[in-house]
Amino acid sequence: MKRLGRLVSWHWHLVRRPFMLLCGVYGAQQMALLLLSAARKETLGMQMADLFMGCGQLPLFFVTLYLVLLTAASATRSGGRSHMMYTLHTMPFSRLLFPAAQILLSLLLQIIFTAWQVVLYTVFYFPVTALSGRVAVGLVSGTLPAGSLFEEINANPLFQMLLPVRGGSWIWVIGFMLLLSIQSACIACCRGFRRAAAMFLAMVTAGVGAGSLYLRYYIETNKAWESGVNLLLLLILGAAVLPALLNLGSALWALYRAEKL
Amino acid sequence: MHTKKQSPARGLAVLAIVSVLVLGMGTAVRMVGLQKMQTRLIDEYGDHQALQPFQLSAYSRFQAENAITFVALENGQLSGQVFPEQVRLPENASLPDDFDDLNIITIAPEERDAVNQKASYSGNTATSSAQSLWVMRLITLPDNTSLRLHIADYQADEPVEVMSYPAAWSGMDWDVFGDYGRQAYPQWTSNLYVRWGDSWMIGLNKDSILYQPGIWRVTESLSEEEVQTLPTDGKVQYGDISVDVLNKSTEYGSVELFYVPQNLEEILKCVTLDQYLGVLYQDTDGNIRFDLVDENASCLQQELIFQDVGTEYSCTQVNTQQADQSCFVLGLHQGTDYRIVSLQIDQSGKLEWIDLPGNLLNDGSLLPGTTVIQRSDDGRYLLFVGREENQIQVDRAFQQVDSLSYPIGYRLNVYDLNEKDVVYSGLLDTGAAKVWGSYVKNPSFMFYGLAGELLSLNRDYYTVFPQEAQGGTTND
Repeated sequence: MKRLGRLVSWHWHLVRRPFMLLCGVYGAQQMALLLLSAARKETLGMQMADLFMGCGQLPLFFVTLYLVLLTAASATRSGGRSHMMYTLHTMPFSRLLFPAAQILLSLLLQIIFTAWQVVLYTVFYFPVTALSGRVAVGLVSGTLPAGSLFEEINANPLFQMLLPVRGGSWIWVIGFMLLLSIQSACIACCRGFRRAAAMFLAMVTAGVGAGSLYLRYYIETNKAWESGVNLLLLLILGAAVLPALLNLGSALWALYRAEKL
Repeated sequence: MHTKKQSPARGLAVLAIVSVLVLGMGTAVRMVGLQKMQTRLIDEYGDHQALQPFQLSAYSRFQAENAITFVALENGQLSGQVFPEQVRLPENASLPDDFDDLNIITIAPEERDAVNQKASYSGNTATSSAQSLWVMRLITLPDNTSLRLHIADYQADEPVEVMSYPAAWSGMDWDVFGDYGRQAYPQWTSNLYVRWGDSWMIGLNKDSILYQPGIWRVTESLSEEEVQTLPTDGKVQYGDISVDVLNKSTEYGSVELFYVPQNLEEILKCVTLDQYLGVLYQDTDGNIRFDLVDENASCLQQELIFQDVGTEYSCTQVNTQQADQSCFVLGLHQGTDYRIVSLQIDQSGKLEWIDLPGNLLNDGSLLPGTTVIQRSDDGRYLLFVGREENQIQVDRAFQQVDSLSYPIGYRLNVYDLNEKDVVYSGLLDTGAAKVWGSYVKNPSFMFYGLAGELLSLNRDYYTVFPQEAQGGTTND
């Protein structure tokens, strides 16, 4: 356990700068796009959640989540000079501890990034609403209702998926993040061409997994649990899990080989 | 000197714990926000106790929030509930608006061979002409069963073009395409139907020649699958191919005559009142009458509502949310004179009714938005529920100033028939105001398909006052 903690913390030490940079860039683009679109007259009538969706932040969140996975995996990137599996040679660890640490690190980074999005949204709500309110004052005569952060968080599809109010739905969010963590760990274990393949498969999992999260939410809210829809969900889930299984095999093979060297 | 060196693990642990807390707080904010969506009642004038005799309930559906709120007013008390992550209303709450009443003009069976012989085929359409036509009425009931009745024959003065498609919404048989005959038999007809006990009652008016005008009981109606399995009984010539079809002139399902009002000119509405059936109709002298009919099809009571109103009038049914009440708004004299007719079965089982001018509340603005009109059991008070909106002016660049409005809820007015005055007024705040944006949004700013799903937010909202007062259950 202590070794796992040490390994995670060492890898965190290696990736925290790029991770923070990623979070910063993500926050900066979000603020810029939200403020720019709130300042436009054409977006009259669009509130925080509409603006958030309108400037593509829903797909962009999942794209950035994928970049978070790559960042977590970059802890083991070695520039191609030395052996990738340096830790296995220099530290007295079981080889399985290595992917375990990467899974944990990646999971934590995803949670931090998701929380970062919640913080960003809460912080940006005030300037964005003030700005779009000022634009509206110039265009609308008559009273407009005052919105609230409560409303805008509830209306946002991203938070409906990531912050479910029903207990059972958390399993899907955690499952989604775990699947991505496994993919990230697999990327970390492979190198060269295999690493590129693992990155591609992880991208498939991230995209399809986000899709299944969305579909499940849709089915849940519409009470559309019918055999046809269930089959579709099962297929999409399969498409998310299968690349993870492929990657897992490839990663375990890489670990086995590394130990042989 | 000892230099403080923080382990990177601690930073990560702190960040992770804070993040989990943030996510927990976000979820808490969502839960609080959902509870804040509950409908409130804002008393504005008069004594709140005036609401005591009324029962009201409504569901509001919020598309963006994927939530439904329920509100009930009982004994003057407002109670509410929020159903998160749910977008479907309970079945008994949604209005049965999927009744469909369609006139089809098809060819008479004896002309089929001649029509097929003359048929020409191009693209995916077969064209021909026919002179003797049948008018069929296809009735689809809200329970998704249907029946088809042959209501009239129609002899055209000269041959009329008929068409048939291998696959189209109208199915696969000859029918008249275009305006021919639509004057007398418009495609969509009046919605005369009511569910009475276990059976569906439909009203047929004078345009039905082969069925006597009156109230008919549906004795058999077929589901979509059952219609599919009906045997084919005719052919359509598509070029060289002859296709077996179920003739559009074939009847299926059945009805039996239940009740015919005396001197019937036109049935306006059929409703249920407690265990009785009510028929609002115009007689041959131009009077508007209301018949209360029991299960033996005998008229218990006949009321003369208005004398000789001529032909220029309109009639709208207004929801009452009470099984023993019915309400209509009649626009007389080409809509210049609105009258509210509220009918009620009193304690002794007798039908009694009142007739009020539509501009009861002086401002005259109440009536067009009236959603529910309900009478108290003692008959003294009337509750009017009408949609309330806020007016705004939007000045879009290079465009004229648009006058728009967005909903803010429902106005409740209690009217005292003795004092002839409004004794209470309040605003039922359903949370409608939060969708104001979708009423002023620039309509050109729209994405479709997957981009629409990913890049835009649908803030649709509506409130339903079900015909029957609800107990606040959902099909959860």
